[in-house]
Amino acid sequence: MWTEFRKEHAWQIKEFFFTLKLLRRNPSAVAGFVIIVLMVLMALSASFLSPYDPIRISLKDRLSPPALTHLFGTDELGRDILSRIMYGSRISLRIGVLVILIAGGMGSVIGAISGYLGQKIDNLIMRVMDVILSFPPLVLAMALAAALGPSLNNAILAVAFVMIPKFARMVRGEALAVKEKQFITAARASGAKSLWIVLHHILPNCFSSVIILATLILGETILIAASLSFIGLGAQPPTPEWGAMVSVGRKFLMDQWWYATFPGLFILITVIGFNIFGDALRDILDPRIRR
Amino acid sequence: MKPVIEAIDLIKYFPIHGGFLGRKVEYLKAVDSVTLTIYQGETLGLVGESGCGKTTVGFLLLNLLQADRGKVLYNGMDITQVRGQDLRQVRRNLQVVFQDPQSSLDPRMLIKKTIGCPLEVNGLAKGEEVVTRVRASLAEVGLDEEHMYRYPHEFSGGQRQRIGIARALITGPEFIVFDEPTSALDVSVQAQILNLIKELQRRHGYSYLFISHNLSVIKHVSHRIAVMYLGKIVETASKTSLFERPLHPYTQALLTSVPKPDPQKRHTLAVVSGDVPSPINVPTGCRFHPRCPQVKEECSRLSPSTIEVEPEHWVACHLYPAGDNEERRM
Amino acid sequence: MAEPLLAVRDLSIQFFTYQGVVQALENVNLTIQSGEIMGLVGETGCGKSVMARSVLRLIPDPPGKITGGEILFKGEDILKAHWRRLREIRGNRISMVFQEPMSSLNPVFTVGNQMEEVIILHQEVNRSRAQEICIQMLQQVKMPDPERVLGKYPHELSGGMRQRVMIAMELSCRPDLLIADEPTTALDVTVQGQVLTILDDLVRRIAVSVLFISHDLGVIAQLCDRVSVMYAGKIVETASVRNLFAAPYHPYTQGLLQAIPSVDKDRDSLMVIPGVVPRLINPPGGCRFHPRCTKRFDPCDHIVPKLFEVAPDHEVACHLYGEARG
Repeated sequence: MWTEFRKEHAWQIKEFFFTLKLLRRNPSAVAGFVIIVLMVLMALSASFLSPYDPIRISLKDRLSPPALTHLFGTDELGRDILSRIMYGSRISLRIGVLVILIAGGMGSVIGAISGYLGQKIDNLIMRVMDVILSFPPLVLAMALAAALGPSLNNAILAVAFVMIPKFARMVRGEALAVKEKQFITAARASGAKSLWIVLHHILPNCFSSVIILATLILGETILIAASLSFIGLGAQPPTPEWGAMVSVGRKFLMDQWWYATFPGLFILITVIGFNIFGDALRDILDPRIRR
Repeated sequence: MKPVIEAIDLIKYFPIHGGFLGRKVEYLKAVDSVTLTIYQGETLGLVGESGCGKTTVGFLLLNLLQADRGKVLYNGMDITQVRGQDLRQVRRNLQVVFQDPQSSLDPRMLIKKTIGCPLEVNGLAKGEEVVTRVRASLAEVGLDEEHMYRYPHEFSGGQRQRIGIARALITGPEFIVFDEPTSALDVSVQAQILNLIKELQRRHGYSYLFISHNLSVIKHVSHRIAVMYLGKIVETASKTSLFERPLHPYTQALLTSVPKPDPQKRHTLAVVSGDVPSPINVPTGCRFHPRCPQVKEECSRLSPSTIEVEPEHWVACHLYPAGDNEERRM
Repeated sequence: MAEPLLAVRDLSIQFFTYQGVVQALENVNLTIQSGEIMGLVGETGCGKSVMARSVLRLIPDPPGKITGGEILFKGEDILKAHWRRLREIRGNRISMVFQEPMSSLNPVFTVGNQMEEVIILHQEVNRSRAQEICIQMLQQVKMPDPERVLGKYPHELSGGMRQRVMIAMELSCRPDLLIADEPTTALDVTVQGQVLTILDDLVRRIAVSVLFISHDLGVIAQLCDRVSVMYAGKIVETASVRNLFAAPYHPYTQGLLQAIPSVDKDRDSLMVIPGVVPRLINPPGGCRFHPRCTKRFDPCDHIVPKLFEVAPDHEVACHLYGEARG
């Protein structure tokens, strides 16, 4: 069973390690990757590494500046900001991954069908995508989140919806190019139906572009989710979501700078991390550079 | 001899959209009333330069393109009207091998799946049986079983063409269209593939339509040859007749233009002037008349009909008027 | 013998890639005399394009590196020339015509614009005189209606016309050497016939030497005076065209000639050279052709054969002949 898998996917395994080798040599890839890994580690280890319970209130310690006891200080309810940031990374990660899966999955299929079938269906679908894209993403996400009700899950759905057209557009473009290749005609000549061709031929050929787009969008996703929490539509208290923390911390910015600054910093670093990694990945996966 | 495929008066025009609202502005007359017959076990070579419509003819014969008018008979049955499940049934017997080894195989698909695809999509085999049949197909084209676990980029151009042929063979077809299968290959590899193609025909009795722009290759593989120019067939004959007594001025020009690999026989290469015209603005009358060294007055007015000048040798040219021979279709 | 116009001596070029080092050319020797059309024939990946580009130093420096040898143009080593000297040479003393005219002509400029640019760059003339020269050159390549053609964009011309424009453009400064890299491969056969005839006629009239690169032995036979056969980055045989076709010595040349279908002869099966062209990252040791050679024997797999004059003006690099020890 495993040997059959190894046989069939030998090349993919080799390619995977080759990609890793190339990534290792690229400074921005390494930097981005390190950031991502640190963030993932933080998310995974939050429950045993975090110094305090993130929602434990301790009014006597409220608004204390960064010190050895509280490395990033405390918020207005005495909760340790470092712990909240650590748990917050889980939330941000969850948002990012779920949005990418939903938007990427649906967007890719929509785009592939649109590109492959072409003509009227393509026109129709792309015009719908255009309408969605014509709204500034944050505004649309806000409207949807507000309509659905303020909660983290609704925020995820709202952001995913906003991201779908980006994937659809890109995959549609790739589908248009792939559609002209001779192996597609060969598949038709063998008797394959359109849906089969889209799933087995078109989508696999768009895979690497989707991955790259996903890493680049991940950063934007976290940002939008944070903005939603900022205005109260995403994560609800006491959930330690970074954007929410920045939002509340605004009030205290003058005297208790640590409250808004540290979560803001983490948002910044995470988004940059994903962006530079995605950038480097795009260059590396470019077949011309690989050879 | 029994005809396997008969194409009767095939017409395919591609509309060109232009203008602001994308209206149909003009037509690209790719195939304009083409009639040909392919007999059991033989290879019909279809030769012509770029834009003459030969690839379109190939696709029309397989119903990969819907003809605007005309019929394609497969063993007597009109396949232009067949749809859906019945068409998929017919497709098992009519296969195609493409030109470009780079794009005829999906770079992300295992060879096993690529070759096995016709079986999979038609529900003809599953699991272990697919492996067996793919193995057999690979063996036919001279490749090993372990090749099925690889990806296209691990193979050379010649090997990829073999894989394309293995894919065409797996459903046990009767008729195969080869669309310029060796044009993208080096000379030494081309020889291997051509030998393979001929050997397969000897072994299994396949009937072929072999499309190429290369006359030497066509001569090597074909029994009969049809010459196309700008969407029309201008001459059809057996291989020997065509090369010994080319009747149509275009065929003659084509033959002379081919540089012979023999420095002792240096010859003029340029016998026609001008470029191949676009199939959008076809010349009136005989389409070859603007470039024809033997053009006559009526050539720009009237389209010539196809006449059987000698047994099994047809030409469409005013140099060979209808006269006693009635206009005949083949 | 007079000093050759172009003498490539022991040229070696390597490409440094992620996969490894590609030995693109190894100890390549080639000479072109004044007034002759020299053919360079070989299959894909044999290095003939690399060879052509190296004459004008068009090999991109990473990843390619010239690791040895010299290219003497009228006695001057191009590989050591200053970039200013190179600018004088390119387009002016040595010109090049490529296979794909669509990508060598800039699609956003008119044909006239591009042709004039070359002339103005190398000759001290004003625009109207340059235009006259352009029209003259277009007439030389039998272009109908040259004045109108000057105002057209490349995409408005057919493939054959574009190649003629390229030829006119590259010959406008009357270079000493024209390098033609598969100029007719992408053209239809009737158009190819026209372009080759025009090229042949023109170069003989204005006394330009040509390095003509092709994989098509028919074209080589009809056009060239002498020819070199390349295989896997090395020259395996050099001779006059008549002698090469009449009496090929190298097993690869023999195989190649037997593998081509011909309109003249009728063969049941084509002779096949077994195996495939090797990857140049780890080329076979000794003679690079030995794994596919039916006549190989003891020294072939570890000793590199050198070019040896097996007949007057006919050289082969093969252990079957003479003192060809490396």
